[in-house]
Amino acid sequence: MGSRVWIGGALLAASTIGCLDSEARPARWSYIHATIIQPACATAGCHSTLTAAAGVTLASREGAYTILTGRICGEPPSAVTPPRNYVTPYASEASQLYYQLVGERIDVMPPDNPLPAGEIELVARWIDDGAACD
Amino acid sequence: MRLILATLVVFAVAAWLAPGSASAYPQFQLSLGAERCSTCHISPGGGGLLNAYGRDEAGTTISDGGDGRLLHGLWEPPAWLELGGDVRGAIAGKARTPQTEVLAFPMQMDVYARLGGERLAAMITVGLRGGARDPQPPLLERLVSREHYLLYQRESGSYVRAGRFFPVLGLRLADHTAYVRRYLGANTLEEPYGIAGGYVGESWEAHLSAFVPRPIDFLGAGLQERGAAAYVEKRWLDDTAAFGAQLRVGTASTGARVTAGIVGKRWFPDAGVMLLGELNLVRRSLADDAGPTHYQLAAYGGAQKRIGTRWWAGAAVQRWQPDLRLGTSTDAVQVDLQYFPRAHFELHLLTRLAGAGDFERPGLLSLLQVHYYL
Repeated sequence: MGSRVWIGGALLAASTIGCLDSEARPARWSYIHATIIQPACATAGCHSTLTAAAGVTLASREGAYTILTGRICGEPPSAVTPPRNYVTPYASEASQLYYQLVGERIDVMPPDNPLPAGEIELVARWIDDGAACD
Repeated sequence: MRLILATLVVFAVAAWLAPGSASAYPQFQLSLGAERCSTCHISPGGGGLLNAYGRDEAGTTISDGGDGRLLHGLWEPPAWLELGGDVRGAIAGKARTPQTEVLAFPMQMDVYARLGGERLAAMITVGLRGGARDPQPPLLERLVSREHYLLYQRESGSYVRAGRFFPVLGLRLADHTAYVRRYLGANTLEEPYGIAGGYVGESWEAHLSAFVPRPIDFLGAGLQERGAAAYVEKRWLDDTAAFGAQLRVGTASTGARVTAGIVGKRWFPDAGVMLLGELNLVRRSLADDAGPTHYQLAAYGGAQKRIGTRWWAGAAVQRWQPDLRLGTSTDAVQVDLQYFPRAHFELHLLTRLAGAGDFERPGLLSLLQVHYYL
């Protein structure tokens, strides 16, 4: 009986797939970091604080934002060009982060499990909206 | 003595290089006469250090040759000490647009120790973390203890433990990149600190754990969660079937996630086939109005076929859906071939095709692992 309840619940949940347009999700950094960047990128062997592959740490919301945009959360953008600008605000097509997630002309990230298209679209939308630390 | 020295040299060299995580092979449960993981492992949840029965099985039932004891039986530690270790190296080929990559790297170098008496003991795992790509950090910076805890076990099957370890949940696959581990707080070095208690009996087992974040971020990775986890497993049909249910609740500064799942295993002795499955639903809520609460799914389904005494062939499918309301997912199809020529030795060929949605941008990974345990 117990197993039937679980299986029924799973099927019910699975039946909701596709009910929501990806644009209904918030293109906000706090959402993107918590749901995409942290779980997919800040793993022990990659961009965790522990390993910081390629010198990139994406574990914390604020730290990841600074690494990717060159800006500091809560402070106005600096006129100085950051040393690593993975993100060019308002221009996803000019942002290395976008190309790495897509895997176009560059190593795809994450290297073993590409992100679903909806996740990449959300990141692109956040960049195109200005890449704010909201 | 020469063999001991040679073995220690191998370990020292591997220690210079390696990373990884230790776990068990879930297909061994039920299929080889062991109805529970702790029949062969000292840990109540399985994985890591083998007990005397497990070492004996390694040289008989599993590989049909060799001496499974520590150092192939050349040295017996005193009664208060049990030692073990895992060394795993890999050669991997990755085919992905725009290029193909071949890597050779150490995957795992762990040394296990159990120190104590019959009932109370300290369990320690020390190893080296690392990755597939250079540059590797200095040796001392890579030293890590993924598990260390005090364990009190009774002959009746009950136990308590306190320290650093994964709560007992799920299939406990050795592959930490499996979606049911990777996305559910059980990726490598994501072990929290906590206390746990449980009972492991002939036909059922139950585990209850409470956990808090690691005190220093550099001890690991992943969400710094605090919470609790419960796992219950019942075995039926002359110990050829097992069904488990699990619940995990974790809260962090970024939000909370509640994971509910089921686990199933079925061994068909005549066909020599094991079916394994795990399905988890996650309710993810975010703090500070970061976004809407949503539901996630992580699933694993596989079959393992025993071919003769020394070979296992398997196939599995995996799915990760980060938001069930969307029509997007990451899926993987995997085939495995494992060969256990002698006690202490294993070759494992893993080939996995992973892709998002309709596999428009698939990634192909082929990994040959060479595994030796002490």
